[in-house]
Amino acid sequence: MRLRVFAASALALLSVLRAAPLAAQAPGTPDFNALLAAVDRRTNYGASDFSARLTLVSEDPSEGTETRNVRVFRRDRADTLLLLVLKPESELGQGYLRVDDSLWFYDPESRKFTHSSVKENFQGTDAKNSDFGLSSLAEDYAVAAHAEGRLGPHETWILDLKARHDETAYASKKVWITKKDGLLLKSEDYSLSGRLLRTAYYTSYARVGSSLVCDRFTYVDALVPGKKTSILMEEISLRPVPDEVFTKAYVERVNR
Amino acid sequence: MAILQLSDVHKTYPLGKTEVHAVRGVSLEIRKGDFVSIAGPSGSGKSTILNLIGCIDRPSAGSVRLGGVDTAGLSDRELTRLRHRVLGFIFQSFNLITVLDVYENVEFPLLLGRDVPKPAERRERVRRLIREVGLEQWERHKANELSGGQRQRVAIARALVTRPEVVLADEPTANLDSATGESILALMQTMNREFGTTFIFSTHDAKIVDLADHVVRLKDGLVAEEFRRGGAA
Amino acid sequence: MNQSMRIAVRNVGRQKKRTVLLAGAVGLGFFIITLSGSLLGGIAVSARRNFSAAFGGHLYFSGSVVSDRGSEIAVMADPGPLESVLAARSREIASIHRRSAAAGTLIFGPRELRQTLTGVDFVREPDFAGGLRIVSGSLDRRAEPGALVLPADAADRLGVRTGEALLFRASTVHGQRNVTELVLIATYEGQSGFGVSAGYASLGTVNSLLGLGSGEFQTLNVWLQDDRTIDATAERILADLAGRAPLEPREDEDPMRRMADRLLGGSGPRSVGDGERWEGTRYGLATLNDLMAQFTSILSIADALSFWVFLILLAITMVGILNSYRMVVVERTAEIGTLRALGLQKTGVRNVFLWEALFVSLYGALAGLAAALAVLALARTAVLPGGTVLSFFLDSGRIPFAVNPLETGRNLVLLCVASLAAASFPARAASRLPPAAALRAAY
Ligand SMILES: Nc1ncnc2c1ncn2[C@@H]1O[C@H](COP(=O)(O)OP(=O)(O)O)[C@@H](O)[C@H]1O
Ligand SMILES: [Mg+2]
Repeated sequence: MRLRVFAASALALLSVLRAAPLAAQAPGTPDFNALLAAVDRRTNYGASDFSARLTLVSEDPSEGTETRNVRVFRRDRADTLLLLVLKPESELGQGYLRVDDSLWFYDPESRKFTHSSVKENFQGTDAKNSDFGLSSLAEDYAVAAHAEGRLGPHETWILDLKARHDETAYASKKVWITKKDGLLLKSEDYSLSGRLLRTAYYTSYARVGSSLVCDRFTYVDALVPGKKTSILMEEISLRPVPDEVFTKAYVERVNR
Repeated sequence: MAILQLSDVHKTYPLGKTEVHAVRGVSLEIRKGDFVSIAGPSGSGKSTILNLIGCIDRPSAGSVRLGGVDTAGLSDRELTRLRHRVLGFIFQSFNLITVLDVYENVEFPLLLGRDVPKPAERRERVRRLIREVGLEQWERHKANELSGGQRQRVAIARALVTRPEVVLADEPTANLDSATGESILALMQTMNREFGTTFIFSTHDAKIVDLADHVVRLKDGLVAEEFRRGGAA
Repeated sequence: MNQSMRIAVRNVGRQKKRTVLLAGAVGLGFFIITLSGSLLGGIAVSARRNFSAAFGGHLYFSGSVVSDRGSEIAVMADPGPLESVLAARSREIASIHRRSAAAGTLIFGPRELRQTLTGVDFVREPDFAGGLRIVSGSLDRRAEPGALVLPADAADRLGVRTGEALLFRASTVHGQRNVTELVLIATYEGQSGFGVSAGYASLGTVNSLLGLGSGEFQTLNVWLQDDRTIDATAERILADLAGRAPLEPREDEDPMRRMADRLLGGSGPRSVGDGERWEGTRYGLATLNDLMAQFTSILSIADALSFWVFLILLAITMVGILNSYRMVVVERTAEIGTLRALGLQKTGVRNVFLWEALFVSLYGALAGLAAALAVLALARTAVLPGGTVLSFFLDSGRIPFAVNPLETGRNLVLLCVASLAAASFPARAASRLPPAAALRAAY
């Protein structure tokens, strides 16, 4: 059931950002907490629905490169989510439906749903529970240090984040946020023991309606050399998704 | 005195839808120590009479008294005990127990019933009889290693080992050549004299009938002739 | 000796082919039931021993507390009440081990492998080393921080050799990502593929990975003096604990699964609903029997199945005995008449046949038993390669067997009763033959 692994990372990536201009930008040093809160707000779609087609390319030095296509529907205010696999052929039609706290995995071979708790499904994946929920950088992390620097052509704030409590996914992070738009460009995630676990690069933002959504990003595993995942989001839409999409009946029907 | 008394004994066998009247009113008295021959042609009822005397069959009518006991009222269990106590059997086909050797065959009847003699006495009696019938060399042989005459000698020893009052022998020589048959009869006669045991044997052989001192001649299930020889009134 | 019995004993050897056939059929049934029963019995014993060794005890107490944020944190923060209850029962207890465990991923170069890492207090468990069969390296430096012992097949899959360093990634008890560097000092013959064989490191190493203090631990494993008392002792200890500390309800779900979830769940702590929260350390208990419940039920199904096979073979054999002795009675009619004439009672004739059937069955059963024992003894001389799932059911690589005298006795009694029942019909018919009619039959 590799889909589960993959789904988890897809979910993790979805928690990335949609850009909106920063509300206020004071000259000199800004309110970093507000900066983080803005990033959080952008990541959480709140009132609107979200749908997109994702292409995931995962490179693993021992397992080779795999490409997957998946369609995702998301409604954060109801905590519901549907993933449908489009590629590879062998997994076409597999679905992954989250309604409230229940996760259902649909296998078109057996035409059956299997139920599992959220926890069980995300075991063994790169993703943390908090990745699937709402982003809460401002709530979970305090800015311990800040610096300014360039990342490619962008002027950025470089913030060292320290966890405010011991139940965050990472004990510390280092994030790069553009000064101009408040866009998250890069994040380094550290373990409790202070070791770099992964680096995320948010390389492209697309305008959807009135906001900016990150549509291309890459996770580089810092522990396993050569292991990384790149994601491309297309056909992004914030238009309402019909209610019936988030039902088992729909998952079955799409597969017929 | 009479050891055995048959009064107006009848025996009918069912045969399909009809009946065979094998014995049709026989009365007999046999004294202790007699050497009796039941003679008659085949089908005259000799075996039937011997079975009735031997308590292995019951008469259809009439009574059989054995050793002063009327057998009519006895159960199977009591009849078996009576047989064991009073009678010895010799068969036309010898009927040794094939899985036992000579010694064991002779000993076998001693081990049945309630009062089994002590081992020492048992051994003494068995050995003595085996010697009497001349089979000392054959003690540990099985029946199938013996000739017909030898088998019948074993049977005689077996019949006598319980010291019965009456020994019944249904055509004991029919399966033997005449010389052997005569020696068997001679042996029986010796035992009759030596132990005073009553012998009742059936035969259709006129030569053998002559050896008996009490002859009962049967014909069609009836006593055709009965006489005693040599002063025995 | 009883005369019927004597004749019967002799009769057994009379028609050798028939006796061999009947006894052979009985023997086959007895062979199968003894073989399967002994194998299953042996497997049950070995599996118990191997599982308890792998899990390090008979009773596994876990502790958990509710964090400020309402998450269930797997740590035995206050072992006091449990320890005092156990101290009061010290006579039933062989030893107590304090352990922590982390489920995570071993990383060596480009290779990754899921693995459970158990933290052992090597100072308080000096004889720990004796329980592992070392394949490479040595356990001498096991107490040093970062020293790692792995099942040999796990090391093989990672391609790591003793002396080399590797990474272990896991979550802290609070759910925070963590990683530490370890050095492989030894490998042992284990079955990591089965998910039971753990990697071992010092308690301190595992604790720091889990975000626990050096003196803390997650589970307290108890070895009992007598592993047959697991359930009873567990009940008594829980009763002793009631009122002294919060206890996890035991019946609601599979306790082993719940414990594994809590200890090994890689995705962080479960959040505890407002109504469910407790003060202090809550104890949970899982036992070796809980862990083996599924396995035990599979074994007892197999046991029941082989018993049914035995019963069916028995039924077939009984039909054989019934028919054979019907023929035997016909063959021996004249002999039956002779025995009756010589003074054997009806019951005596009946007993000849009953004894004979009984002896044939007993010979068969003995032969079957001997054959089964021979096969088992022969199988035991073979040593199967270790490190596979199979070895969990073996006795140090050998096929285990335990002949259960009680079960064997039961099967023997069953067999005798069935044989007697089957033979009783022809035996009764034989005893009821009228002697005169029987004698008239051709010899
Ligand atoms: N069991 C039996 N059923 C029917 N008829 C029988 C039976 N036994 C004997 N008979 C008949 O009874 C008659 C007497 O037989 P049996 O006593 O055997 O004569 P013997 O011994 O003198 O040859 C014969 O006609 C025989 O056919
Ligand atoms: Mg006749």
